[in-house]
Amino acid sequence: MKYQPHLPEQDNRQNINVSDDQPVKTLLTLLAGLLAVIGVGYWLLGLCVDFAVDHLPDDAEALVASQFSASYASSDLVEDEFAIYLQAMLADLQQCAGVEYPLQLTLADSDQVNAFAMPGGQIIVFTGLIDQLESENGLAFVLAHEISHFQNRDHLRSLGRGVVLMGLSSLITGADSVFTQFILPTITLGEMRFSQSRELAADRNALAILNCRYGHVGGASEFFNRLVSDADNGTGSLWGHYFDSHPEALDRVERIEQQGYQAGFSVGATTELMAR
Amino acid sequence: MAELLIFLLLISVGYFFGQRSEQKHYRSIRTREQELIGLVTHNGKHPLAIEQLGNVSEAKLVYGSVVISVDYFKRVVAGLRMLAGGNLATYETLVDRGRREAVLRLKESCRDAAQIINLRIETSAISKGNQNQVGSVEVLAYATAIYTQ
Repeated sequence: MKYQPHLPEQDNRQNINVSDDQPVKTLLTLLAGLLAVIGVGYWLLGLCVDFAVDHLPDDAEALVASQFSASYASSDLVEDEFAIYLQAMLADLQQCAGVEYPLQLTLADSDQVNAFAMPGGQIIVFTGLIDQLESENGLAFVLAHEISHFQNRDHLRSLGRGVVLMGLSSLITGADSVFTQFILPTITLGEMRFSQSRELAADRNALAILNCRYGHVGGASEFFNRLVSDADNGTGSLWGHYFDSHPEALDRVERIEQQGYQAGFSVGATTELMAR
Repeated sequence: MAELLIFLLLISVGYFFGQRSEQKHYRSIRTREQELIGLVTHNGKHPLAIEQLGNVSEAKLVYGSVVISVDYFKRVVAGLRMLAGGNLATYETLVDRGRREAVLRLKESCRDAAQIINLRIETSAISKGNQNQVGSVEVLAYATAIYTQ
């Protein structure tokens, strides 16, 4: 028998021990597959969260909410007559909404045109928002919108989905991985974001609250009208932050008016906002 | 966001430099293999064609070893592969290079030998990186080199 030396890639043969593979394509395929699996899992678990939130007893909700001793720690808190007036307004709206949840309103001195609801029942209103509004009805709609988020348990939904996302990420990439660290801030953030459908549901509910309080829905779209006119004037970038998760202002004005019309609410004269 | 950018940067650096050094290594391996192809090397216990070999003057243990590291790109692909299973092509080139380089070093250590017999190759992971993933691979090739007068 004759010794016959040969090389793995002799005569332009493919090296038998190395697969013919495009590494970048493999990476992208695997990543896409992983994301698809996560996406489907997230969607299914999201449905479970919605189901659980809808069927959660009131005392269990209170227990969850009590875990958030949410407080907006700031030196800019305003405690004057106007803040008391806002508190009274909130109490009236709350009564109309039939929310027994203890709600607390905090007025904070800031140029931000924003209002948000924190889990645990705290609503933060920035003075920048007040300055943009002329009528009490306009402000009442914004407050009613935040009350509706509590009423619809949107915080629990948002929190539940955040936990699901976090869990999926920890399970697949590890608890201290880049991806998990990336997701973490989104669920610990006091200022929660809701999906557009939740925002529209809150608008619909807010209209009913407004109608109950004032007997009409006049002024409901004042805030969003201001946003539209400011956007037309080119100063719209100021609102970019607030409207990240909110439907476009113009679209929203139309929807609010349409919803009010469909529900048979009338549009009456607005009440002027108390001067600050 | 910063973490994501760092991740993308690392993976790009891993891919660019990893591919470059791999191709360079393969070029070197092919040239040297061609150069040493005349040196009879096999894994049998006894020399081939003993009658033509003449008197054996010396037999000694020779070995060659190499350690090659995984790059970040390969590690990420391997991490994803771990979930789905399947052929891990990015590591195949790594161990292929390791084996061939180890044998080449072995041959280079005894260029004047008449034959290299009883060739054995062993592989081990010598460092465990983050999350217990294999960080680098060591390949050891050892054999008996036979010299004739």
